Amino acid sequence: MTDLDQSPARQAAITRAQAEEFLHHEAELLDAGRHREWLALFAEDAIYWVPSNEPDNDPNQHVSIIYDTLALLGDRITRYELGRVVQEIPSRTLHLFGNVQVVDPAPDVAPDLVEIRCGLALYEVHGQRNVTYPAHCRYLLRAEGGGWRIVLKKVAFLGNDQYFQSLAFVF
Amino acid sequence: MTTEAQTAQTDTGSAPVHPWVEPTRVHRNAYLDEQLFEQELTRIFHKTWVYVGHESEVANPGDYKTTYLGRQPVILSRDEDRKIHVLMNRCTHRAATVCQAKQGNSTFFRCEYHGWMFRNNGDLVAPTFSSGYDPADFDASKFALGRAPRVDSYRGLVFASLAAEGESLREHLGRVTEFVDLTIDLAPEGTIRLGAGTHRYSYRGNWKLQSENGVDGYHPNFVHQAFLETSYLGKGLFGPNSVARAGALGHGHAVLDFRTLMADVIRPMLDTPPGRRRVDQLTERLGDRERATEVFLAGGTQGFNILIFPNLQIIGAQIRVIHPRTPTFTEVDLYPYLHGGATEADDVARLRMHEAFYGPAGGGGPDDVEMFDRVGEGMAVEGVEWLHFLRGLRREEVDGEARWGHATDETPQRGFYRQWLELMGTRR
Ligand code: FES
Ligand SMILES: [Fe+2]
Repeated sequence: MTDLDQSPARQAAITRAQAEEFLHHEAELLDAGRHREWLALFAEDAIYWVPSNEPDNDPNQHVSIIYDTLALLGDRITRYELGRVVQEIPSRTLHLFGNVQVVDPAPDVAPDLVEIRCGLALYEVHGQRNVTYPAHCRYLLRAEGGGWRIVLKKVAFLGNDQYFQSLAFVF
Repeated sequence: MTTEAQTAQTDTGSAPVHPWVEPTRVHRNAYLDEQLFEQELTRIFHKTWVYVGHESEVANPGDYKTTYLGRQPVILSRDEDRKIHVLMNRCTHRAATVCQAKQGNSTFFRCEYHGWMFRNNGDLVAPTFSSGYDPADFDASKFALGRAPRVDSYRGLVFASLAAEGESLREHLGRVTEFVDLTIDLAPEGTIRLGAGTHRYSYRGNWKLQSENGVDGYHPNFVHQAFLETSYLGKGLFGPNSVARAGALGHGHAVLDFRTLMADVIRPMLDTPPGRRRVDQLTERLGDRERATEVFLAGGTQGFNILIFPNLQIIGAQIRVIHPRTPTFTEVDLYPYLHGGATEADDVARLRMHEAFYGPAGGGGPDDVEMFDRVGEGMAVEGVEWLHFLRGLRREEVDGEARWGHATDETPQRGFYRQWLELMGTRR
């Protein structure tokens, strides 16, 4: 008997090529400012998490830079659409995803989800600011309606214990 | 220094003056000048009471955190006798910092340069390779870490002063304690605790821009328009017909007080079982139902923003500390605070509420920071060089040491600069 036999059967699988294709599509939407289409990539029960101070901590005991449900993420996008001062001139971004791996999900991950780990080099140009934000990312995806939907997107910035000038753009 | 103090004592009748800070306007040089910045460090940050941390951050013997008093690196530590110290993070041998971590627990601080060890009360244990030191030249007791001569706390908030003498912390805080009490009394156990992490951001601008802004009720309807439109708060709170007030409380402290509006939101809860339970609990602890209801309806710092001169703010669910770095560079630490005795669900709700507006990706805070950048850019203009704080000057209501104005008035900022002048101005 192997461990696999005891765990609930994985109903979902994704190849690395499919994972990369998904991430490249997400990057394209973000970098083109197509925020509503980007929002549509998230599942109803999605969480978008950017931890503060450490790469990992308990978001119920520790403040996060972002801890959005789908509704909060929607409000976030709405505020940019209403014209936030901070994005009066929109940031220009480039998302480079790399080191993409499809990993065996942790035992507490629902059987219909697949897990991706990857690196992100996020470039932002805004006014006089021209910054690179390196991050480790974790995605949980679910197959829905013929495509993949994001159930968890976690962006752990390497510098999340440092002073940021501003992360008030969509990434 | 002595001369200055003597002048102040012998000539208290006349108001202090400064070429760059007047009662209703501040010259751009007050935000840009290197020499003035050095004077602010010396006469304000290295002299008056400055917030260092919260007792809950060093709850246990051996706990410590590192921070800054003005520009000087310090360690807030709790020794084995549970006594709190504010130690200078500077080896008494040849100046290296002795503690690198943001926080931790340790009996000793060891300088890695030549290995000197200090106890967490600051005492030097012994120099390393001690045979090279002759007792005739070297007395270890004279090489303890430097320390803030005065450390005191109010409701768990620890302050230090680098001046050996001066007014007490209670005298310095004056009427702002009224609002600190409302904030902390609201918690089920009457205490708050930090330890839920931090948000950190920096901006290319002077520290005073953030001090001014945290109690500025004039800007939200413009800078935070998009946030208010997606929030239950709406734009009435800081509109021209708002019944909210802005107060200068004396000693430079200030409050943006929208309790009356928050009370309207909270009042319906008084008629619900959970609301009644909370007021019963508060009554039991505070011993007075009227006071309990007042505390409950105020909603803590949901009902007001506090500025404690010069660089501490208590706003929303956070304690905010403003660190001046250079005249045109500032770092800001936000510590969400949790209520002692609250449920985990309450803690989570407070964290989520804080994140919605504040921090580097928040729905509001970064818009303020964007404005500080623009102020910095605009200040390069020559010939138009003053920033004006004139709004509501003629409708201020005097109430002892305090002055009150409309929520959108620049009463808090005028009060801030009165205290600034006390410490920085000259009397003639
Ligand atoms: S500088 Fe600390 S031991 Fe020499
Ligand atoms: Fe603001």
